[in-house]
Amino acid sequence: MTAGDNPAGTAGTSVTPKTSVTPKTSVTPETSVTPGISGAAGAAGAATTAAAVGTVGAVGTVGAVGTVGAVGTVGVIGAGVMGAGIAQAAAMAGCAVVCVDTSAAARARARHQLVEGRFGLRTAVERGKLDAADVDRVTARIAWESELAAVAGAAVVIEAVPEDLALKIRVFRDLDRVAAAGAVLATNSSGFPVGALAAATDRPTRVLGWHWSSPAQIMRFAEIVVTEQTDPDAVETVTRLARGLGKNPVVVRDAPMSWGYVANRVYWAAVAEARRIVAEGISTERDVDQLLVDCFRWPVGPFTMIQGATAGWT
Amino acid sequence: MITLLGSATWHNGHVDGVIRDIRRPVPEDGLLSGAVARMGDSDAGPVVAMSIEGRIFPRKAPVHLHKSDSFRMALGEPIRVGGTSYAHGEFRLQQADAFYGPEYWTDEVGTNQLLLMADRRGLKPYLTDAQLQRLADTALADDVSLEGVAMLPRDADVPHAIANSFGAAPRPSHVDAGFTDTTGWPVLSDGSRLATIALGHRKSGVLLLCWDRPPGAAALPAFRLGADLVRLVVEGSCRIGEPGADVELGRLGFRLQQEGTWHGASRSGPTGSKELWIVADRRAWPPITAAGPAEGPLAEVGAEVAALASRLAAAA
Ligand SMILES: NC(=O)c1ccc[n+]([C@@H]2O[C@H](COP(=O)([O-])OP(=O)(O)OC[C@H]3O[C@@H](n4cnc5c(N)ncnc54)[C@H](O)[C@@H]3O)[C@@H](O)[C@H]2O)c1
Repeated sequence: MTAGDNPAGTAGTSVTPKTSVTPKTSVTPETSVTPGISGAAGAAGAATTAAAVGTVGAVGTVGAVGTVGAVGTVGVIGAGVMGAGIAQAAAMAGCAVVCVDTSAAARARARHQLVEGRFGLRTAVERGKLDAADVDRVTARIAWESELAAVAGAAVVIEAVPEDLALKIRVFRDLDRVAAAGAVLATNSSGFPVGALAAATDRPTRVLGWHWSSPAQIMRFAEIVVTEQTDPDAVETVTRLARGLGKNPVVVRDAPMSWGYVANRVYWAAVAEARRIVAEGISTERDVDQLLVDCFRWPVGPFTMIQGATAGWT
Repeated sequence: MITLLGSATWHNGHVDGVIRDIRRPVPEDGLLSGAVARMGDSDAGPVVAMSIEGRIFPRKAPVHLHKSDSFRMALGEPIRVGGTSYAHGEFRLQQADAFYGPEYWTDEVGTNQLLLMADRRGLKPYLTDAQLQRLADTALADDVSLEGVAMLPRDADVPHAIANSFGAAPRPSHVDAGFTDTTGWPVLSDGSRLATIALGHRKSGVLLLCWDRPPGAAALPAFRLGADLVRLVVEGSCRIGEPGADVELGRLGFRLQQEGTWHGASRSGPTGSKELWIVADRRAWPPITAAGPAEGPLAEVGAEVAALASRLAAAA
């Protein structure tokens, strides 16, 4: 089985290609940036200022004055690879965050990774991007909870539970019951039609996709997926928040019959074609990778990307 | 009893076929080129389709659920469900009442999948979009070929459960596994590896036996089973003894065997065989042989099935 951009159990080690293949240009597939080495506009960099002044509003590089603070509390469902990263990104930008995970082990791991992880706050301090004193301040902004009801006060809730549609639909049904009336419910699904999740709620106008890439703390990628029903105000809220977090939001339309939105559809189409080319004996995996790196300045070719995303980068 | 959508000539309770790409000319060799078959209980037995055409939504199916557990396996070309791609021999067990999709069945018409609905009353798809639902309902209602074979007007409402003998990790609503990696499957005394899977009704549901039989594996004796059986060769080949001449089932060859009829003795081919056996009602296992109760691998399968059944009973 080949899974989408959430290779089970391997993410977290899967996002950092060797520095030798880090691009100098802006052609950046979602799992390709070498954080802190490539100079990506990472959250760690932004956090110094954010934490120092205690509000993102003052961070000129990541958003207009007051924008993130104005959005209110951010809820994150799932404290796995993505959820923990998203929570960190929001907290570093000055948001109060409530991160819910049903697994105590996941919460403990996320709490630990927030400070000690490869993309955590300690690394940011070591690299001179964050004052040691700010570690506690950012840490204190995140409440790690076990019950969904803990996000009742959130203005935006980002769901990041495993990529299983039935599970996500269940979570959206439950979220609809506990979240504040006007709250925006966003999914970080890698590609499930957002309409299917919206249909599970009584607030389809407040449901949209916010597809992140890993590591969420670092990558600027923000694919905002809207259905025909999504309220423009909900889109505005989320794109403003994304910008405030140092992301580069791009709004795309939901496609009910397809998986993958834009980024994953294009990426998997390229992978499928590359596989066909090798199966037809036209070239080898190594050479296909080399050609794409040389031709388009991709950081790595499709086969290296799959290998890295499933087995980790060496 | 097995009922086929198309016509076929049965010999001694069985009919053989091979899943072929119907986009290409098919030789007139008397073999079926795929099958849509109803098995087991006339009300609630499984439906198996081994030649899928994009009936309702060509090439793709939107997000939907069925009121039955289901099993799908890629044959030849890959299939995709949501963001997961399944290569030949890889399969997905999907829980009843759980949304999944969208599905992609090849670039063309999609003759590349084995789809099993554990309880045929659960065949109707439920979609998340009212417009698409109307379209699907109309298409199903208009499809006279399905009448009496795959559809009943009411939905299944039974205690469904999926379990497996080889520790495949359950995702929230599905299980992924496959013939591509059999290393985790229990090993039988003749060196065969066997994955046992239960789906559908907790007690009377479907039994799937996934065999990885090496070239030297012991021959299986002729047997008679009290439930309908579908036997499909995923890789390699097997030779089945017949009164006239032996029959060889190659890759994607299959046999449909009516309940209570004799299935000839069989042996794996020179490269072994990987086979999927679909037993319509797991309570019928084990089969009997001419010498009485089954021995050897067939009896060892019995122990695996019993273990699964008691796990399901305990979890109920
Ligand atoms: N990993 C990546 O590179 C990546 C990139 C982009 C998008 N995504 C998507 O993000 C989502 C999450 O992926 P991940 O890699 O972080 O998965 P993960 O398995 O690392 O984390 C998921 C977390 O959700 C928790 N969880 C499960 N059920 C829950 C529930 N009902 N309520 C609260 N928490 C629950 C689990 O305990 C786990 O900690 C998936 O949809 C995935 O496709 C992943």
